Amino acid sequence: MNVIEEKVIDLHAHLSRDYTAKKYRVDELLEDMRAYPNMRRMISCLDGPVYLGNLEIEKLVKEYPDRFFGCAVINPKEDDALEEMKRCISTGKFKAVELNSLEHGYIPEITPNIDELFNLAERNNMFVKVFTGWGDHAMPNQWEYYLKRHPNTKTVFLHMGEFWDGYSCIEVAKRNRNLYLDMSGMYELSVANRAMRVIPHERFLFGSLFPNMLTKWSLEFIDAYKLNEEDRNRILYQNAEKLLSL
Amino acid sequence: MRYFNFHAHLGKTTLGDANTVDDLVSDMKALGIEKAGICNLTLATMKAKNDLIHDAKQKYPDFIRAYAYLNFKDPTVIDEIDLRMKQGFDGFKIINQWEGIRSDHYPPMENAFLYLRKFNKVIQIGTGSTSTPYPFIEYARQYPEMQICFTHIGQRELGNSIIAAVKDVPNITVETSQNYDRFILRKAVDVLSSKRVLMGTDWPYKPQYTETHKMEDLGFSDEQLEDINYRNAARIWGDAI
Repeated sequence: MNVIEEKVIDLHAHLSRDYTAKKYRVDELLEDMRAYPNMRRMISCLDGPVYLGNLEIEKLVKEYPDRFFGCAVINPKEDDALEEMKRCISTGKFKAVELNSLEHGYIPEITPNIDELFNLAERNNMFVKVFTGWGDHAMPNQWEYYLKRHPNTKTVFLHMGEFWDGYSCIEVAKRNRNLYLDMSGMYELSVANRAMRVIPHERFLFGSLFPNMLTKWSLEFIDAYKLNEEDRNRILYQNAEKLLSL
Repeated sequence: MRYFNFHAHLGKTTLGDANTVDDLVSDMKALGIEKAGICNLTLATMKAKNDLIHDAKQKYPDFIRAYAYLNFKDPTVIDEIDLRMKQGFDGFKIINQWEGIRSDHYPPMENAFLYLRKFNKVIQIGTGSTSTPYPFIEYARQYPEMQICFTHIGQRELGNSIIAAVKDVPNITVETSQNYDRFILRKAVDVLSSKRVLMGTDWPYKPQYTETHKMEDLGFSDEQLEDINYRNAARIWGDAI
């Protein structure tokens, strides 16, 4: 195993689940972490029932408090969305809530509960992570509706809108100072370079998108951006430390 | 390991950053890449795009493999195809989304597209959610002599679907750039075989080191990697190795 000692905070990774065995792949996650002993990782689970996924994340954070930060996944379409958010908050193990309108199949601007989820996050010193990219349920411009309504809630757009919506994501970021940009899955150098030229570097965050992407590849992307050491450290961990109030 | 890059570009990026064929060759050689198949996406006209690529191949005939970019809305497209074949281009490139063409319903496209059958050259088709590959699968089934390559394996959003859809269409290959979902990359080789998967880096748009080497992180055999990294490209381009 090639061990990378660099200090890293990975703000976006998932715990996956074997759908047949109904088992969470904790071993796979821990095995990946072994290669990065100085990496801490925010982890969430999109597989299986929302409640069970959040429970598994809570267990992981309890067991490995020095390695993981919890991120709750909430489906605002569910009847118990707000109750599940409050339950996660009450555990004290979650630093963020993740909303994925593509995964859960909703149009953000007309879906109930989202305003209150933002309110709950802000009141409890959590930030909101939002999936962006892949079409008309998850465009950065759609989610800007909530950035405007909740200017004091720190919000992270995951993947910076990915390939298709990357340039428009930059424009949204220029208009909204409460928006941070997760660089996981942002492989398009033209978009990344444009973003770096016009958005303060304090608002970029490293994410690995593990397990779909190898952590190694995500770190290679940071190399490809050709950052100076100061900016590299900001993106790899310093900006995340501030966001997490560490 | 040898490397032939099946998918790259030349000319100003979508961001407006300039580059030259010398930059391309220098970057590729630094990665150990011996040849690169290129087209231009950003110049204003089909002719200007292909002139740039022609000039690049003239300068580096052993290194550059040239794809002629085709805009099926351009009334000169047949003449353009003939011209570029006379000039020794090595294949064609189609990204219908860039031209506002619906691949699933644009009757004028069909004549020009099927005209390509006479040349026995690879047709590289950009794929992803706004550039649907599915109509081309039907053409490939109907005309098995056409060699079609889907770039990006449909990207992350369509990768699994495309692999399943082309499994029994042997004249369709897939290219790996811009797809970083390791499960899709692995599946492409497992389902289609290493003979139908090609390494490309999409220079200058993607992290080049990762694009060149990512398949080597997924546990394939040396023989499979040789197929992916250069043998398949050599076979399709007709290059001796």
